[in-house]
Amino acid sequence: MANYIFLVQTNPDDIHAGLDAIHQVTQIAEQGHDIEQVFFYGPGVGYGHHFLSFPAGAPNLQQQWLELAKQYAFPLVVCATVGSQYGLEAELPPEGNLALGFQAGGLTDFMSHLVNADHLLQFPAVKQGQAGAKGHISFLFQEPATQPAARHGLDMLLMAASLELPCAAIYNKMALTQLVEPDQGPDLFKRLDMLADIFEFEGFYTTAEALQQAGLTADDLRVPVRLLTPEALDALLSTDSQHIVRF
Amino acid sequence: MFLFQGEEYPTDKHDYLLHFEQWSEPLAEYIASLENITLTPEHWEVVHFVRNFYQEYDTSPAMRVLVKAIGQRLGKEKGNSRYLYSLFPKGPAKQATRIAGLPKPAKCI
Repeated sequence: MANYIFLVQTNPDDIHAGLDAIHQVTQIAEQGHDIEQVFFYGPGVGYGHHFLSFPAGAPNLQQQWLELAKQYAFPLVVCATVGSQYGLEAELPPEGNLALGFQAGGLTDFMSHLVNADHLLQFPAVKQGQAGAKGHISFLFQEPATQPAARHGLDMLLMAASLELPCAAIYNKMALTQLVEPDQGPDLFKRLDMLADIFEFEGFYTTAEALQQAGLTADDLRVPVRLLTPEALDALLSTDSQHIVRF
Repeated sequence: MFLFQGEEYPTDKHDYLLHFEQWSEPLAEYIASLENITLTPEHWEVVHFVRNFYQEYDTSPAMRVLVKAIGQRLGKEKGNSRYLYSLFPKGPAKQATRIAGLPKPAKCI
């Protein structure tokens, strides 16, 4: 018996990914494992919407989540802050539009569960860290700065850092743009500064190859980033990570 | 909306000041009175601290961040929740940011 935590970031409209998540939760619950929490983050907060409906011919995934949660007694937690960015006021009607059966929660709660969980399963699906490894939580950033996932991931990293959990932030070629001043639109610099100034976070990593392919040098980046060899990066992600969270 | 000295100050849906730049110390004293707080020099220190924090990081500091940042810059004897709750009994982050004319800190952080 192990305990699991699920992180769902798929939009409810993505029926295929939604079914995949439900299928896996069901399987794990049927095997007798504990499900500590299902946390809806990013576009996944839409599952907690009171007015959510599904197209004709598609299964009602919200209903399926509610039934599973009831059957196996686990909480369905919606990130309240990201929820408000998707039009979800995380209280039951009439005060808000949270669906009955979902709870409003936060990153604090999620991170405290995550650090005690044996396994994290993330949807869209992602390769997982070594089970039970006593390492850090790896944040693997893969999207360019223009994607909301960049901000969602950074907020989660900030929360983890504020809880003083050991963390690594790893950037691939595309994601390195998150560390560079954009031509237009908001940048992530103030959040990055907060990580560095207030939480004295230094665990930024990439590879020399990624930096070169992105056409950047270390001087272009807002924060000091350590360069790893591809082998060292693999080790950081596989054996040294308790969990990997991908954004 | 705050109605203070015959002026109207728009607020957001949480009843926090909508426009950061409309803030003034007299307005802060008025908002504090709504929170049943009389501002002492110790309160002012925190109020100015969160305003500066907001200008620097574009974020209303939530409790954990506030404790950490105050501890770092004003010293450990002030960067702890006991001290901050003694000043702002209903939640230091919530009350200090409201008095400082900032948006409400994120719920989930």
